[in-house]
Amino acid sequence: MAVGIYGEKGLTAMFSYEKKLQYPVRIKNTNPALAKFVMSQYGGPDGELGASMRYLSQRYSMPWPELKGLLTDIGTSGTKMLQLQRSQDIHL
Amino acid sequence: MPIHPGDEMDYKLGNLPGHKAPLAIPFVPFQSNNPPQYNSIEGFNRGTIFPGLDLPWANTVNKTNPAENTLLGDLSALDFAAFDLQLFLDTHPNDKDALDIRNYYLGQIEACRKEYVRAHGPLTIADAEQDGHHNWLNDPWPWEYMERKD
Repeated sequence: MAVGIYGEKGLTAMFSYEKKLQYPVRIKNTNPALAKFVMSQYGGPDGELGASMRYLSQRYSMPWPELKGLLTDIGTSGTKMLQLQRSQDIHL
Repeated sequence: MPIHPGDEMDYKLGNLPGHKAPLAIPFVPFQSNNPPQYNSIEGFNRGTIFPGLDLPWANTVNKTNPAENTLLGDLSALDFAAFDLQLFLDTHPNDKDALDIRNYYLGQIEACRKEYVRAHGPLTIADAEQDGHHNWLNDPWPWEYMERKD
């Protein structure tokens, strides 16, 4: 995902990757049924994948600067959620 | 009064059920400047740093988080607080107090991040060199967590 350019102050990137999760995942008990449910919230029409891409697409027709910023921040935050969901799933 | 197809319609006729209760309209009040805030750890556990926006479903709240009292836990909580303030500043760009608090968190993050990178390896590709070795590819990746990596 990272599109990076090395500038004077180090790395500047449009989207840069951080090698950590937004929230720590520790699965104590495996639960395949729950894993299936979490997966249903990943892709598909009501999943995080579609939601984050919708936020990032709606930016382009948003007239208000405050909401351009919010859509950008919420959309990129959605990509953190995607990694969280899959990280939970592979351990459930 | 029952409604039949062909009756003249009005937007107010859509109430449910039995035409008595109105449809719910979700509403989040606009925050004032410099609203009260939890500390970073409590905000991270609860999912918002703003008590004014904290309305957990069925009052179910995390009392702690799996990485509390570790470098990863501290850094995650600080990152979360700075990010929540970033969202707040999107709609309150002139709130000087919120800017100051965010700057405070950014300073804390820088220190905590250095410590984390020294102990556990790179967070971004810019950190990915140690003793002339490109250590970006070293395990574990975030989804390959192990208890000892905190």
